Amino acid sequence: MRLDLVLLDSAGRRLALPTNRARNVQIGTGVHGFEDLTAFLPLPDAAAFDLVSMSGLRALLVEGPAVRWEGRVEDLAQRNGGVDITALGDSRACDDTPYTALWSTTSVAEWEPVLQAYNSAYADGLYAFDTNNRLYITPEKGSIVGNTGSEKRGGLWYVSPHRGQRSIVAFSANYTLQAGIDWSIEVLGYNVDLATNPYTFSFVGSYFVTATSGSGSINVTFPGVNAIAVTLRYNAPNATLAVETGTVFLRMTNVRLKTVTTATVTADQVVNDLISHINAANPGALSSSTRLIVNPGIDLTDAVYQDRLPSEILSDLAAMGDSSGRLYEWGVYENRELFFRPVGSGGRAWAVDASELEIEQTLDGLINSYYAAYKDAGGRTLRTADQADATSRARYGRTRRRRVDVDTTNATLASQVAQTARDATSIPVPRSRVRVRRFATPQGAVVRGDRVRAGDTVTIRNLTPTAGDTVDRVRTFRVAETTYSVDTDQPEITPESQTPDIDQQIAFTLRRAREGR
Amino acid sequence: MIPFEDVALIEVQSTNIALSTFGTVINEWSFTDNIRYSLTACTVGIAPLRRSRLGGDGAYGEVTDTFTIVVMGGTAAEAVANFEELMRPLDQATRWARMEAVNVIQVRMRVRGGAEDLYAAVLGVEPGTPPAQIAPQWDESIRAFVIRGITLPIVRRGALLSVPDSEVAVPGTIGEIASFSFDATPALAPVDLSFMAANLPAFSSTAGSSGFVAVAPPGNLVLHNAADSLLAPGMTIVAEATARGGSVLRYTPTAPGLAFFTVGAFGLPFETRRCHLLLTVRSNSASADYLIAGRARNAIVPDTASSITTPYVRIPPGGVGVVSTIYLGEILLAGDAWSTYEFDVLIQVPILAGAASIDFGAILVVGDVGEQTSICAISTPKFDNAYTILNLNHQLLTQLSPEAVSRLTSGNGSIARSPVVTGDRVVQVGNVGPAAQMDACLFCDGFLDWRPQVGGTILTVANRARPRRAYRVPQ
Repeated sequence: MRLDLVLLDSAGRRLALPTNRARNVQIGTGVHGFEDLTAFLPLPDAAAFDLVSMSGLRALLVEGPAVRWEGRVEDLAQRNGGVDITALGDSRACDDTPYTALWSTTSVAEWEPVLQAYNSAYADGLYAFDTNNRLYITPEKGSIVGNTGSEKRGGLWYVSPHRGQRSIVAFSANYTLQAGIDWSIEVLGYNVDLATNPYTFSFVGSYFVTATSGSGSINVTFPGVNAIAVTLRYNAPNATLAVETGTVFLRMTNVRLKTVTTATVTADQVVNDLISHINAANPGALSSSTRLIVNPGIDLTDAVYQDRLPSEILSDLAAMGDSSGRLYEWGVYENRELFFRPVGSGGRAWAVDASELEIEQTLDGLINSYYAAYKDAGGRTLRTADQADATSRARYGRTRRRRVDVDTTNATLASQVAQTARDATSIPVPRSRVRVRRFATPQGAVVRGDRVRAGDTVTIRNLTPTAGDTVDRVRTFRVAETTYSVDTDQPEITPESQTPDIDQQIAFTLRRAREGR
Repeated sequence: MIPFEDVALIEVQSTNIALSTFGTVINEWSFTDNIRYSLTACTVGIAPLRRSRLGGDGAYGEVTDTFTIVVMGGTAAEAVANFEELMRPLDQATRWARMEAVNVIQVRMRVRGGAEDLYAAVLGVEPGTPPAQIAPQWDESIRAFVIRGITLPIVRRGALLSVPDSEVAVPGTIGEIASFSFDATPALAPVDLSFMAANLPAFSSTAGSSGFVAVAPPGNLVLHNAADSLLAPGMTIVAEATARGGSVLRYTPTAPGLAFFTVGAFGLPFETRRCHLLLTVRSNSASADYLIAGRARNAIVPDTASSITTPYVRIPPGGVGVVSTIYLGEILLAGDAWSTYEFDVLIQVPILAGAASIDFGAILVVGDVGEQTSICAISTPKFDNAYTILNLNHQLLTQLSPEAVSRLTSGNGSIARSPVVTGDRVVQVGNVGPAAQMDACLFCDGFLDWRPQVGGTILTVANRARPRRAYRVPQ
């Protein structure tokens, strides 16, 4: 069977164009699935103008019922007696609309005092506040506190990102209340409109109250709100505080806000919501199926996204890896199904006899020790201990250390990300280039190169087997990018690290620039 | 290239350029009329198999035939006018190949003493022709003005095609395999293939969810009823009037997980190295997600390394009662015989929500032998009285692209609809034994039925095929 280049309009109808006459047809796959399709379609001027005037087109390259490539047409250029067509894979949908949402935060750096101007139940100047690694509220000596006239609360509040897509539904913290009778602490939920001046407050509910001095923990869930306040108040007629500042206080540590009621926030939850977000803006841009989304098992204690593209968020989540130390990958292949899974877990295995092979061993990419930079709850930068790979250190005779930034207050999570980063680079990737024409399945069946995709593993059969890793990165390597020329039936596969080649580098750079990456 | 002037046995007797519309010649220029044009030499290009993997143009690449001709006239002006007239169709051929709204130009060839005329669509002349300088000269021997030294390299589609052979009609039921046999063809011959619903009452119509047209050499299409498979726990046979064989296989999971049923071994020809699996399926659940895949495994020596599994296809919840015809994937084999492999259909139920089941109807295995295998996917096929369900027409002699249409079978034949059909729409047949043979199957569902039906009667189909024998040299 031969291939069929299909252009569909926005209603899914096939355009009656002589796509069988297309030239320079090339498809590519990359780290995010189907990457690009380029083709030149000879057309007379009028038909070419009609085509470039259309929008919302999709391009498919099929072999009978099998999809070899699909994506959306992004560029149509009328020139040289036809139309240059450039289509990009459906992972491009993750670059369409920014995403703003709070999932979980343990940082207290963004908590602020609630001003009386915001809400008359609060009082200015009567309390001292501290958000240095804790939430701390203490009435100042000489202040007139009490509920005569107004409540005169002292409060710290957190407001979720403005116009964020998720509401706060869970609050947890450890608290210490040191006070006499009639003092109480309270956790209150509000919906606040930050676009008004002064802010419009809508009280939703009180989720935790205690007037008992001592320590304890809070773990409550509630209907969605966009602001949470923790308050200290004197619930008795007005009186002047005679004790020293700091004698009566509320202190909260291990504060966590979540927008899910589950015990943890995991990347698959975020990814699933990103699919909904993308489809809300562009219905059908991605499949609603989440079957290719794997839960990495890491609790995302700090996941706050403001005006970030889904592609950026997905890349960040993938780089964090999973609880087993595996890096993740994301992308889209057939049926517009987004995948989020351990690197290479969805790839197929191929064997080749390389006709041309260049290998360059280099320590350029060797990083066998990482430490993670993260923050404490107050926003101060902290560093984990070095996560070094002793085997790699012994093998290569040196330690190469780098820092990895982790947006969290969780030291355990930060260390885990540092280990994942280390495991990915503790064996340097040789630069190599392989030219082959046909690929074989593990059972020995030979296929053309249009089936090979990024993420697959390729074993060069005509090299001496090396002991060690399954993917030793020379004899067996993971494919980073592929291109396949339909005109010449010639595949090009790029291993994880290719040898420097000026043409490849230029093409790589241009492609990245075109995609805005 | 065969230089005709050196090979007397295949000296070209007739080399014409014809302007035609949909096969009807409306004007014709002969290089051998000996009044205006005289062919002095000719080399005919031999069509190679096309290297490009893009379909739609048949198996053979474009070639260049070079004609050396003398243009004549009673006066110098007449000779020049005759030359000008010759250029006109060649310009038109170039414009046609650019998809301009002009008629196709065909070249017709026959060797001296040959049996038949053969045709090919002309795609224009190679750049740089004809010569830039033309000087008519008086030739006393023939008492005419002549323009000599004109060499025309004409680019055309590679295969030389005969007039259409007789249509072969094979009656049958929809979803069954129709076997065709034609006259032998030296090269892969394009086939005009159509399916017409034969028993639809007047003004009635019905539709399906999806479907496929599969074409392959004999023995490479195998139909199997899921209900005839080896049953596994949770699987039962359920009577369904519209299903092939009158029943379907139902799987009722009791817990999330993986199950499979063994379809059996298929006797595909030994030389076939890969096959595609198509099947009809229906989810009976509004909430359960099903994932299904095909698997081939060694039936003689159980060996997990020898099993080959297609990627899982998702059958989403919802649309209860709707039958779909889906593509499961391809299975590649190395050098083993298919008969040593058994096929399974794997079913995964990631989350089981409530009572749910999934039904399987017919399974079509398509052995892929390259150019002679074609599978086209049809989105929402329609079956209307007086319309062909689908016509796959290569149009290699008349149009730039093949077409897949549903067309009125009588009356105004130009009224046509274009269903969304993907896949190479050029169906080709080659010799199997002494004749050109192929099997074809319109494999589709009837939306809520396993096969299209009207009033409880499964549609019968007139499967029709009309090949044009193909050659690479004139005959």
